[in-house]
Amino acid sequence: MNDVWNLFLPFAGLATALSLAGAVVALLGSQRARKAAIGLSAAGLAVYVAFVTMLWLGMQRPPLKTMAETRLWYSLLMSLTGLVTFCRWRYRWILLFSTIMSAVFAALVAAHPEMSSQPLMPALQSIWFVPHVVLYMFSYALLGCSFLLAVAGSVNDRLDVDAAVYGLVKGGVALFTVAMIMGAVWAKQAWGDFWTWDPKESWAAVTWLIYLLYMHLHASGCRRRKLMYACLIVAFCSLQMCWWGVNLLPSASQSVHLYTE
Amino acid sequence: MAALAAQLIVGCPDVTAFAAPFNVLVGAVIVYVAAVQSIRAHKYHLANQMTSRPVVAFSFAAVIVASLVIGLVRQTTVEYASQLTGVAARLGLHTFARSWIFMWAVFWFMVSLASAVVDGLYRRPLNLRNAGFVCNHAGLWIAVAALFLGAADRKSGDMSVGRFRQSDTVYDTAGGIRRLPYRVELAEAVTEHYPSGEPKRFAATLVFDAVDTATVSVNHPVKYMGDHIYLASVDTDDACIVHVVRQPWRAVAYAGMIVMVLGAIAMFSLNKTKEEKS
Repeated sequence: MNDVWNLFLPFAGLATALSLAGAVVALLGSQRARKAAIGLSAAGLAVYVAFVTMLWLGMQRPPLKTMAETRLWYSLLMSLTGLVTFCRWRYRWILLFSTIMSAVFAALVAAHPEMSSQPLMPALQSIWFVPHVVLYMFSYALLGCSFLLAVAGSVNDRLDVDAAVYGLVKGGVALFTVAMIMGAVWAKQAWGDFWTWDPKESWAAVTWLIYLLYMHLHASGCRRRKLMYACLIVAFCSLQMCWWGVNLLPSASQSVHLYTE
Repeated sequence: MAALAAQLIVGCPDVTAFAAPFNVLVGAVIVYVAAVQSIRAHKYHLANQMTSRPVVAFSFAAVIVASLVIGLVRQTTVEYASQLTGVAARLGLHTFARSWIFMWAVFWFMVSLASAVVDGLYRRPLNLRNAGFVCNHAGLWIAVAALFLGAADRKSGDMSVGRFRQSDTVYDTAGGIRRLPYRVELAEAVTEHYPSGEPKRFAATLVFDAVDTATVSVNHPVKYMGDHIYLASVDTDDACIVHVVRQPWRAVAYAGMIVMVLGAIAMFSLNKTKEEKS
């Protein structure tokens, strides 16, 4: 295992502590507290970015191969998305939720490291590899944040999160679409097919279509808020299936995407 | 119901039966149906049913459920599935992407998409943002058409290539044979490994008709006389398997994806006009 990897716990611990401090300060609600919260969260994020950069350099390959490595990116990008959402829409509680979600994924990485010093196999040696996976992870983080807001909106009727949810979904779906197209182009280069209805591809299609359904409902002026949030919660569950749940299905045993394990 | 009945009575259709010009005709019918629907609705001031919220939601639901079946049920080859019995096999769930039910779901989705494009052209104000809407939906329609309708014209299969042996026979997964109009011979097969033993690089230098030479490796196919040739595996220094693909709709698929993305950028980056907001 890479030497840098042994530093994960101190770095992740420091990053989480800073982000958590920012999240708690954000709850105070004053203008000064807001600035302090942004500063603390940004510092936590910088620590995380420093670790991922060191890991990338130490491994001499992008740390995007195993499930644990993609969880690491998700944890990092969830912190970033939470911070952006806080700056843009000013929900005092969003930093706390995004930090908890980020910490959960960091804990999963620590519990199941799956970090290997294995180099990239030939199939992953492509210019599409890094943008395809990073864009997917970024879209997962944005859509994860929209899920948190949708749950909050479902629980609390007085909470108006529609604009923020739609903004996050719009950004998430845009990145998801580009990542999916990149994957199709890469698949064409590697195997000769844009799309093979592999289980992972099928779940990606399901996820994408459910989010598009939400966007169309929103665009057509649907006012059934609970239905819209339910749609987003189902979409997020489908996203989890697409990311890691699909590997638990018998249908995935012959998946061409199993190299991510 | 017709798709379900067709599936139960005749089973999964042979995709090659939909090869050009039949698939082109199907695409034209979809556009015609969508255009006529939309123009009539406009003319008679009726709500355009095909782009109404319930119909759009139904179109999405149909392809979501169809994709979900493929995501949940283990898919097999048509040959293997034909030996299976039971309700799932009768419904074509094991080769669902080739079933009448799946085809109907995608067909319906394409009609809905085409209706949105025609509706965008006829009903919406002429501005850059709505041009983005039209391009986005038209691009997706073109990409889906290239992959779905174009699948019937796609030919692919594996070919064993060796040193001092010229090959021109490609075998598809159904056991069908395609003779290539050229012959391929292996000049050199390369396998490189990392010190840990992990594979680092697979490559093969191929000679076409004893004249043209090209190196194919993973993620780097070569094109020869309209075929794209991919390295499937390197067996020994003297032999390898290549995957030979002829996909006439390839450029159409790329064009669709590009138009879709450009349309999405225009649609989402430009703000609504005052007229639309009001």
